[in-house]
Amino acid sequence: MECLLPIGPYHPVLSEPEYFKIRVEDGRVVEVDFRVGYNHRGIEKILEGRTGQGVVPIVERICGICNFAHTTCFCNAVERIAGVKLPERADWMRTLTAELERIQSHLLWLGLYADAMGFETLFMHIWKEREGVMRIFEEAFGNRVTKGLNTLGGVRWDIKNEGKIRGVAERIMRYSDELEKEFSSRLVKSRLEGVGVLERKDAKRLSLVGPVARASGIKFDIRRIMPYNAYRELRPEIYTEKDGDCLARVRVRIFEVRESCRLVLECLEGMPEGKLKTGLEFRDGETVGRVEAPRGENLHFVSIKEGRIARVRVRPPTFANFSAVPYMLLGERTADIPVVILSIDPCFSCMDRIAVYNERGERICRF
Amino acid sequence: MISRSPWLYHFNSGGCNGCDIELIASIAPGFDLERLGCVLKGSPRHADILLVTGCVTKQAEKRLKRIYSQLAEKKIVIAIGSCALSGGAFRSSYNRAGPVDRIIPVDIYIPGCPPRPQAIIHGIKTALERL
Ligand code: SF4
Repeated sequence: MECLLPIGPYHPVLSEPEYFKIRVEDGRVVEVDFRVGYNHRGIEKILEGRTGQGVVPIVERICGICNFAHTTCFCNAVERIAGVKLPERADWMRTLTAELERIQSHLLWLGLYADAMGFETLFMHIWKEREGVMRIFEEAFGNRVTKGLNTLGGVRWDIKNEGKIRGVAERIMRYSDELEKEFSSRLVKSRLEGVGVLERKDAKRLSLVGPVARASGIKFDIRRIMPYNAYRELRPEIYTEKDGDCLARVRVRIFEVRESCRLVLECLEGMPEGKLKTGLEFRDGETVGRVEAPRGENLHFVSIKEGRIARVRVRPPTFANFSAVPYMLLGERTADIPVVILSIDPCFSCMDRIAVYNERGERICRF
Repeated sequence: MISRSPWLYHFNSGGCNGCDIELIASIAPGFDLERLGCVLKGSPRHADILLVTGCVTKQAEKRLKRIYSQLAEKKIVIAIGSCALSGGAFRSSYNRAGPVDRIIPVDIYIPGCPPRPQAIIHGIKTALERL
């Protein structure tokens, strides 16, 4: 029997609006079409023509989960155009916060993923641990989600709660072992193993990034390939899996939680003393900023003309990874659709960059 | 005294996700919104309270109206976050139809970018008293 299965744009499985049109034959997926763009807010346009420090809070609002990755990417790019070298302590502060954000983001995803599998207890457990990181943010920066830490030419605040950060990092490091055990239990395995497989060659062909690529065996991490900030000295270990299924994606992220905890502790050890920021003036030029966000490589193209932003192009990791979803879904059972879609950790507020209009101002298609 | 247990429906009308994850955080341990008898539901037809986050993009406008019309009677609407209230960082966006109260009537406004879970819980508690 054949039928068409519409999912979305507003659907309980997806926490953000997007639309999938899935053709199912005998309980198996045979064709996938998707449409995104419901979240398009025109941030790139809002940024055009602006100048000064006021642009950073807008960049921060591209994504609520990985906002620090976005601001770091943008600030690094503008600083490179201006030819400013950051004070060392600012570099380390950025790295420390980025790693804390990675822990937070991965735990958030692992929790939601457990929930999507129907394992609500685990969701609650994971979010309880995540709360520890959020409290650190609140104490240190006065806000839980959007941190407001980055500014062009450095960072705005120093950390005050080192002891607490160390405590939380150690705790989550221990917890990640427990997580690994939970996710290798028989029940979870039967749900995730061999589901949504993406071969290495496909992953390469589709130019995937981040944990999704690493789960298919591609050793790609901007922190190692083009080190920025304090990653020039810290060398994060890259973990890859060969299987390329949903379980592999979970395992890669659990490993990254542990590795990030280690990096946080190392940052606290090695944090040099000194100034937090330097002055910066907008200079003309263009460049590309690349950072490793929790979901993969985040890329900002920034062009400045006459001291004002002429163009910002944001290529978030989900944009690169999303093209793989139809390939992962083909041949899967209908019941596995949510776990496969969520396995790339999609973030649509990052990704919805375009809306296309015709000359009469009617929207004709969305990406 | 709380005599009812309302169900919630969450509608993301195009924000940065910050408010949405704070909403989920307020359900998770540490804040535990469910102790007020609330659960997040997957369908507006089962829900008494509609929680709207985001600046309402043009694509979301029609759908927000439709979902509001499907809401169970009493139809309490809570707008969460600066961008739902006024547009916030996306005020000058060309693709914005909001704020929320221009499209559907709003009962309770929770400011903040994003508001803390405590504020969200306070807003929902206030809504409970009105139910
Ligand atoms: S109010 Fe702020 S945090 Fe909430 S969705 Fe809007 S921009 Fe994001």
